[in-house]
Order: sequence, then structure tokens, then C-alpha cells
Amino acid sequence: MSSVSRGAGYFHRTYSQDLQQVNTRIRRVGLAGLIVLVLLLPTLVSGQYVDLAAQSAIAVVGALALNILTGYAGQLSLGHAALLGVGGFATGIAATEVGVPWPLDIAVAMVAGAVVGFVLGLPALRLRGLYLVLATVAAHFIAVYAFSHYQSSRSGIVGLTGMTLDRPAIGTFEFNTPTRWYYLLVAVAAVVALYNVNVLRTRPGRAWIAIRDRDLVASALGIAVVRYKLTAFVLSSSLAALAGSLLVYYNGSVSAESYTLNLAITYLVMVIVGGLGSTAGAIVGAIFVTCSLRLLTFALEALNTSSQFQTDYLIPLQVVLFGVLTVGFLLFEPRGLIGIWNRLRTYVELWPFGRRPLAERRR
Amino acid sequence: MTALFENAIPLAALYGLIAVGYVVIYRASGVLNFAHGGLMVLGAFIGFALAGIGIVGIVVFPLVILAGAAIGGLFYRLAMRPMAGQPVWAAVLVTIGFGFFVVIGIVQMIWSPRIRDFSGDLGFANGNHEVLGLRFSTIELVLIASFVVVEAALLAFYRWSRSGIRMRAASQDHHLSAYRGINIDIVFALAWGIATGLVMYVGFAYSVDARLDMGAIGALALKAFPAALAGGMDSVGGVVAGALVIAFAEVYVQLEVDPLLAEAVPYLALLLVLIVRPWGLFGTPEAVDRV
Repeated sequence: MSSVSRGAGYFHRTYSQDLQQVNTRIRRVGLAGLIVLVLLLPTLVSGQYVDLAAQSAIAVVGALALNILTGYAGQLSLGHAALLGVGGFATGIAATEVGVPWPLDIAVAMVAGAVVGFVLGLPALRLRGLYLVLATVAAHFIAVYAFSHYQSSRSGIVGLTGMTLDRPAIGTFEFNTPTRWYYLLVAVAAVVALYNVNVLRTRPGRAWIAIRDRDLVASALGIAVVRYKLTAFVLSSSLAALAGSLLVYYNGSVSAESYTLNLAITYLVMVIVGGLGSTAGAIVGAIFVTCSLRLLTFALEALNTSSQFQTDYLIPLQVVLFGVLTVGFLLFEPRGLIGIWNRLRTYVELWPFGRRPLAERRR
Repeated sequence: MTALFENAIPLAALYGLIAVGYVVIYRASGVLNFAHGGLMVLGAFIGFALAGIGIVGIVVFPLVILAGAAIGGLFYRLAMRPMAGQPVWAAVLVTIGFGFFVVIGIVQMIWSPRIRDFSGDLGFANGNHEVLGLRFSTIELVLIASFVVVEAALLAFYRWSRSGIRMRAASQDHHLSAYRGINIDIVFALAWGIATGLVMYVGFAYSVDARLDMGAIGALALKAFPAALAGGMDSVGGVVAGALVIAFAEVYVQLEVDPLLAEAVPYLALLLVLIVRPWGLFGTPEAVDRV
């Protein structure tokens, strides 16, 4: 059954073996261990860490969405915060003003995200590289204008601080504790991750990679560049809207002020720190970026709890460290965390196992 | 009508000065420098720190420019030079990480993140003057004059000076100019130094005129991108046209239509330019990476 034997190369003898995702004993054991760990996490750690884990799960969904567009299709975008906002506002409007019931409004948000993604993708048919980045920056600010215009046109408290959402519930089971949220969000993140892995092995997935590597060659090979670029934008935006929708439900409110360019940059950094063009990288990067800064804050808060100290030094320190992280990875490890992991693995496989590693790994 | 001109002309000078910084760097290294906002904030705080230790206002301005030139050259050497051979977007992200996060965070740690008003500390009054029936503050006039001088100086620099000609050669072809004995490291460091000194000076002058508001300065720096692009990313002279168009459109909408929409006007113009004429009014079409 095992397709890998020591020192003998990598044999996939049948097509079904080639399709298998979890194809070695180590991988099966590792996956089972991971699932058990994820399921048991809320019983192992205290509330604020469960909260952090839930936020990481939302970040994973958002980063996976961006990874489709930037990692696979190679279209750099700073419009991700706007798409999260589209998801958030579509959810808010559908739930509080139209009265769409709970799980359906998330679907509405995803459709809205897909539509906006289609429009956002149109400039990408003419432009690439830095000019596309500028176009997405412009789209970001126009979207933020639309959000704040909508918000300020509402009367009363909605106009000032945004819409508030009720806690979603299935029957009488209400999602009101971090632990319940955690399980829901992890389940969604797992589904999105599985989808990500699989979509890469389909015709669109391969088309995206071809376009990313060289769009001229891709079109010469008969790939419909226009169609697949738009597909990438639509899919990525729809998933981003899902993340935005989950985020506003988790926070309980929607407000135009929370969708900043810095948020878009943060998601881009997650994908790059994890390793561009790798599903595992996007997941690891999202968790790493979300957790590392917050864990540092927890540690420093334990040392000094005055709120003056926090606003004057802790938050700026987080900002500096985030910048150092970004610049550091780009300068010294452009392949990201997954690049480090692959190098380590290659090292270990060569010695002590004496196995010739594959030339390059993705995924 | 007077309100339109009184607001739009100083804004055009601001956009123009920031956008010229983008153009100088884009011509040299093909990088969009997203760090301008952070550098403007840094320039403002350095200026006020110098004024705080008792240096006369007039002397502070050249000191800020010198500090900026040094920081720009250093940034090129430490962060941009190592990115050679990497994709351009990676270098752009380095400038984002540096400008949006490292610089802003350090400034906040040293000087606090609150909005500050330093205009009294400088030792000279920012009075009002009437020119051609329009009222401008002293600093606004200084900014307008600076824009004219900087444009003329840069055009002359690129046209006649040895360094300027080298810079043009290096931006046309890095390798070929290096073979012909041009030290492209020095040329590029010079470009980064010029641009950084310029924007740090603009950041300081703007904060003297208005207030030192990091958010407002960051937004201003980003809105100068449309100005640079409308003129042409590789055209120093085109910036004048780009800045005037963007500033007048923005102020017109702000006064006549909707102040909230005015914030989005430069970006709507940016999208329009990108769709219709991505190389801008005076740029070269070949410079655009198009599909």
C-alpha cells in the first residue's frame, strides 16, 4: 500500500495511488494526530487561546482565498480587505435589513463576493505586475468609500458604529462561546483547505499555475488565459467574502473602519510568510502571523499591565515586529516557512535516510 | 471659484512633490515606493525634534532633507540592493513592510501615536498672503514654490548633469550601463536619496501647515500615486499635469458634490487611467507591463 519505500524513489503505481492525498503511514498518523489535537484543543488551553485559535481559523480561510489568486494564479492583490468587507457588508445587509436567515446570508455574501471579484478581475485582463497592484489599491479605496457611504447613509447608531449581528444558531444551539465558534470555524477552514488542495489538481488549478509561471506560454499552449484569470478572481473573492462573513459574525458587528489597507497587507504577508503558492504554506502563514504577534502581546501584558504602556509601546512594537517579519522573510526566506520546512525535510531525508529527495515540492 | 483654486493649487503642489519622488524611484529601479507615507511621517517628527532642541525653523528644512537623503541611500543599500534578482513585487512589498510598519511603529514608540500640533514650535508665524486674489498660507506658498523649483531642477538634472545622464542610462538598461562603467549602485542610491529627502521635507512642511496626523499623511502619500500615474510613471514633467488634474478633480468634488466621495476621486481617476491609457499622459508606452 505504501507508495514510498526507503531509498527506492517515489513510486505511484496506479492512478488511484497518484490521486491519494494521504498516501504514507507517516502522513496518515500525522493527520490523525493533527485532527485529535485540533479537536481536543479547547479542553487543553484557556479561553483566550481558544479565541485566538478561532481567529486563526478565520485568517486561514482568508489566506487560502488569497492564495488561490496570488499564490496559484500569480495575480498580486491588495484588494483583499475590500473583499472581506464585501462579505461583511453583504452579510450585515442581508441579515439585518433584508432578513435573510442565518446560513443563507453567508451564501449571499459569497455570491456578492464573486460578483465583485469578477469586476475586480477585469483590470487584470489588461494589466499585470505593479500596475495591477495599483488597480487593486484603487479598488480597495473605492470599495471602502462605498462601505462608509452606505454606513453614513443609515440613521442612528448604525451610521456611527456599523451594524450589529445576532449570534447565529442551529435550532436552539447558539454559537455564543469561543469553543463552539472554534469548532464551527475549524470545520469551515478544513473544508476550504480541502477544496484548495483539490482545485489545484483540476484543469483550472493547472491553468492558474501555467498562467502564473508565464502567461504568454500558457496562452500559446491553448489555455484560455482570460477565462482562468477571471475564474481565479471570482473563486478567490467568493472565499474571501466567506471569511469576511465569518469574521463579522464572530465579532458581532460590521463597520467600514475595520477594512483598512493594512488588513489587505496583513493577508498578503500571511501568504508570503507561509510560502507563496502552497496550501499548507497559506495555512501555516495565517496561523503564524495571527498567533505570533498576539502571543507576544500576552507575554508583555503579563509583565506590565498599565494601559498607558500598552498604547504607547505594545501596539507600536507589534507594528514594528510585523514590518520586520515581512521585510525579513522577503529578504532572507522568500519561499516562506514552507520553504524552511522543505529544506529541513530534504536535509533529513539525505541524512540519515539516504533517500534522494524530489527536485521540488509544492503543496 | 476662489475656494477651488485656493485648495486645489496647494494640494496639487503636495501631490506633485510626492509623485515626483515616486517617479524618480520608478525610473531608477522600476519599484513603486509605498514607503513614502511612512517617510513623510518620519520627516515630520525629525523636523519637530530638531526644532524642539532649539534649531531655527529655516535651518531645520535643509537638515530634514539631508537626513532624508541619508536614510534613502541607506534604505537602498540595506533593503533594495539585496532584492536584486528577486521579482519586483517582492521589492515593493519590502517598501510596504518598511514604510507602513517598521517606520511608523518606531516613530510611534519614540514619539507616541497621537495626532500632534507643532505649528507653534517653529519660531515663525504661518501667516496668510494674498496672491492674484487668492489667499495662501506661508507654507502653502513655500510648497508651491518648492514644486516649481524641484520640477525645474530635476528636469535640468536629468538633461544636463553627469549624474542625471547616468541615471537615465541606468534606468534604460541596468546591465549595459554597468558595462560602460557606470556605478549603478551609486546612481540608484542617489535616486533613492533624492526622493527620500524630498518626501521627508514635504512631510515636515505639510505637518507645519496642517497637523501631524499619521493617518492623513499616509492617505495623502497613497493619493499621490494617481497623480504620478496620470502624468506617466516615468515622466518627471508629466507629474505637473497629473498632480493638477487629480487635485482639481478631488477638490471640486469635495466642494461641490460630496466630501466623502472626494477621498475616492483620485482612485477612480487611477482606474480610469489604467484602463484607458496606462502609461499616463506623458509616459512611454513601453514602460508599462501590459498583458
